[in-house]
Amino acid sequence: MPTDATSSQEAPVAPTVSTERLRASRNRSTGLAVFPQVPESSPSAHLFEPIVLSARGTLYSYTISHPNPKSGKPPFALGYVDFPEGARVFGRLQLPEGQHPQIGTAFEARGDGPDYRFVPAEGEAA
Amino acid sequence: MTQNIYIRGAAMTPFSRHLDRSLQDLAQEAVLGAFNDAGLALGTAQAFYCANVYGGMILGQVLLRDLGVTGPAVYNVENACASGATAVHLACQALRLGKYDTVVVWGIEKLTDLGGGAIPLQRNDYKTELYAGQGMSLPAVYAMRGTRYLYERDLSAEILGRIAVKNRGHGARNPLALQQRPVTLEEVMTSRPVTDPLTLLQCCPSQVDGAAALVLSTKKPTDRRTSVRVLGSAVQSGRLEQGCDDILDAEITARTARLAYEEAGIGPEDVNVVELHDAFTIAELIYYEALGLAPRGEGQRLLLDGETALGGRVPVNPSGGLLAKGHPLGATGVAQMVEVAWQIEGRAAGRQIENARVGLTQCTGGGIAGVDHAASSVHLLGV
Repeated sequence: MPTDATSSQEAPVAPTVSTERLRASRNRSTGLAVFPQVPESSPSAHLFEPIVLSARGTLYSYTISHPNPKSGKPPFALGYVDFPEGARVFGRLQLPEGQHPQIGTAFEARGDGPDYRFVPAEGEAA
Repeated sequence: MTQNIYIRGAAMTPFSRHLDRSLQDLAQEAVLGAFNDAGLALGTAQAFYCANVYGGMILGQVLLRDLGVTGPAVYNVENACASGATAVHLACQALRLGKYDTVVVWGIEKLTDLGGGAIPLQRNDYKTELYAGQGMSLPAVYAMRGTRYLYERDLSAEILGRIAVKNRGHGARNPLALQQRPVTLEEVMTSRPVTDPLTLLQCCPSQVDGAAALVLSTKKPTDRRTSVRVLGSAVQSGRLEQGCDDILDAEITARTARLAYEEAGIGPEDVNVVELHDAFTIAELIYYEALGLAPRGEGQRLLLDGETALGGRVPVNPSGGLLAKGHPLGATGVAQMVEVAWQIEGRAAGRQIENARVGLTQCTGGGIAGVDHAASSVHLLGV
């Protein structure tokens, strides 16, 4: 994404490399990871190195949010997924009808750009 | 502290839906109330500290204008939910330096002006924008803590509901609280789900307005039975969220509390009353441990044994807390100190704690910034 060198707004980096892998940054001094990736145009960028997260992470916690009934919108699941690279990613959980999230189960990212979702990893039935 | 800082005056408006009152009305009521309480003229204030989040720029000057007292410095302070306490902290710094001997701090917010629903997110950078688009909200942040808490401790969700029962029971005894009706555990657990495991009655009300003010001075009052002092004052910011850390750790709150305790030269065992940041029920349980009131892993015992209810060893949120009072953001931190000052002075009618000598106030806010909460402030007040 082009950036204006005089702009004070960092250009956001698309979170995904492919449809399944999320991009993050590793803090060079602590070795710990942050998500989303720190933009390359940021004055802080030199403190981090870009990394690509593993395909699978583990559900650390979750909630089911219930929009006000007046809105007519259905409940949706949100969660924190922890990746082996030491990154925790927040995002929507997309589960089959009737399936409830369980802490400790494996999830994979799907989707491009800012609309990534987490789905249960194959072979990891709740 | 080398200089004693006295709370000369403490006042607050009711926390309510003040649909027919303006920000000016509420702020001036609190400020004039605090000076009246102090027995001091408004003109004795050498600086003004205004804590607010959503009211717009130069709010302090606008609110004071008609009182005809501006000219001295007005400091407008924003630190999310910790705005009010941050303003008190900054005032204490200036008083300790000897720059002023008397100042007034007030916090003010009119959430009913915002149109309803959950408190709006700040979407002011790439991370908050991304997560907001995913559905991040402050209740969701706390709810995920709740889920993890119940999972790790193998507890049922009712432990969370019991915080709401306690605090709304306290609020029923506080004429200044928005919600003055006690609730049963069943009512709490069956109220509308907001974001699991949090139900509606486990979330602080979002449609509420209010103001609170303190007159702080290094001149000791001569006309009071008790002279409440600021024994410790700390503000800290949250550390970058990196790695996969423990979301039950409340690291920023624990760190801020340690600083306040060190400054005051006392420990959690010396605290007789607490006003803490119960924006959601799970928050109070986690903060019991972060504030050192209970060892890690044992906060729920304090609640179940009745130690944090009125009549218990260390009542928490005798005012009703944010759950019963509501959380007009800028006002909350100051209102917590008004309550603790009144408790120590024997002026908390209907909810008076016996022999309170030391109180702690804590607010921690700004939960969606890519840090473990953006700001925390802890104060110790006492005689």
